[in-house]
Amino acid sequence: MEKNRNEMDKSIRFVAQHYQEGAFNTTQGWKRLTSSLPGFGKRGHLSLLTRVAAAALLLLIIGVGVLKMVNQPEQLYAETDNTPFTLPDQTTIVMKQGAKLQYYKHFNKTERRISMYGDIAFAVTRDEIKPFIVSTPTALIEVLGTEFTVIANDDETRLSVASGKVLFTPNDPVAPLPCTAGMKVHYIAETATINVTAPGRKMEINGKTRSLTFDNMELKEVVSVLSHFYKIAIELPENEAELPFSSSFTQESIIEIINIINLTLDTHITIKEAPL
Amino acid sequence: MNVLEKKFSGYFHDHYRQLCLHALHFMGNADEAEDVVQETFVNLWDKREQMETIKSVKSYLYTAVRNNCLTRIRDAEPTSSLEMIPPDALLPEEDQIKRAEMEARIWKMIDELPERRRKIFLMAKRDGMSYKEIAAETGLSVKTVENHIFRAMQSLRSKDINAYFFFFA
Repeated sequence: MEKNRNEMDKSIRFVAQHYQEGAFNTTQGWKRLTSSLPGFGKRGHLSLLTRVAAAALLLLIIGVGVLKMVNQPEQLYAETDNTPFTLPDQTTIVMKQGAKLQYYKHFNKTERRISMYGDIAFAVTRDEIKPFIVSTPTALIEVLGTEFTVIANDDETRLSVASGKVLFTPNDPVAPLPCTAGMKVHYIAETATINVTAPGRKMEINGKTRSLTFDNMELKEVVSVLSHFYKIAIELPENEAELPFSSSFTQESIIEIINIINLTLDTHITIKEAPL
Repeated sequence: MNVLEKKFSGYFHDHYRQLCLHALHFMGNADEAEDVVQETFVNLWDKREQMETIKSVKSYLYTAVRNNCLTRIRDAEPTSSLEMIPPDALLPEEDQIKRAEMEARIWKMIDELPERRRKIFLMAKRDGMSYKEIAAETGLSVKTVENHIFRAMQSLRSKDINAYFFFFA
């Protein structure tokens, strides 16, 4: 165990020492390679046209209320409320006054990553190959294509999902939370508290006090939280996944929690031996 | 894309970043490591008709990258010997593959750290800045810098990257 940890720390040091943003990027590497392999595929012109079109549209939209910084990364700042903008992948955003957003020149080449601060509504163009990743000072939000709003500052992140699926991952505890339409998440970094609300149901995860509260949440959601919170693999029979569950736990062991759920709902949830 | 191109593309997408990390142990430079991996795939493409006869393409790729790195090092410094290669670059092949796969995951996880945390983490671990220097540079307190680095290390050690695939599967 200790040896593995040392090996991992050694690897982390090695990677950090050589890390360069945008390097070792598979999609870029693939483009570079195929351009040097004669006769390989015939999709170069199309992607070039798409990029030219996106760049032209981007230039058209720039202006009203959005200050575009000259230096990389591209930085947007909303001087007034409801400032619209279209990103190179055709994702549209509406920024509240004072909101900031930045993205790198590699945006849309391999993935779609932005970082933000303030209040921004997103309508993300669907692209299954290139996930759209929003980074705030306290959380990471990953989507494929959906509509949602994020409000972020140094201490907290709020997410409101209008449609589609969003994966919300707070920095601490690192518990990825799948969120669907109508769900709202409020994460406070200082207290490591995550509040998730949806019509008729809610839950609260407190990383500091190690307490969990579920109110009418579906079992698959509960199990997903428990699995990441306790870093353990849990098996939930498919036919029990949508059963509603309500309860609160503070510092109980995962075995106790699973026992309580199984006893109260007559379910068959089991803990797998291997950790996640 | 024809069948051969699809297979070739599959090998590339499955192993590219890992092979770059593998090459990095020999070359010590990200640009050169990437060049070697590109060259290795160009060579594989040249042999595409024989691809079916290669028993384990993955093993072939790791070995080829290693050999291409050593050739480059020798060409650059004809008088140098293998003793110049860092000893941990010469582990058994299986260990090298495992290490490259782990380091590729770490690289991706650094990519995914929140912006500010990544910046602070790299200032400390890549640029060798002290917490005090980082605090002065970023305008944060030393305690906050310390916290960012602690949390970055914690994420890199424990972040469940499978969650992503689970969710979008």
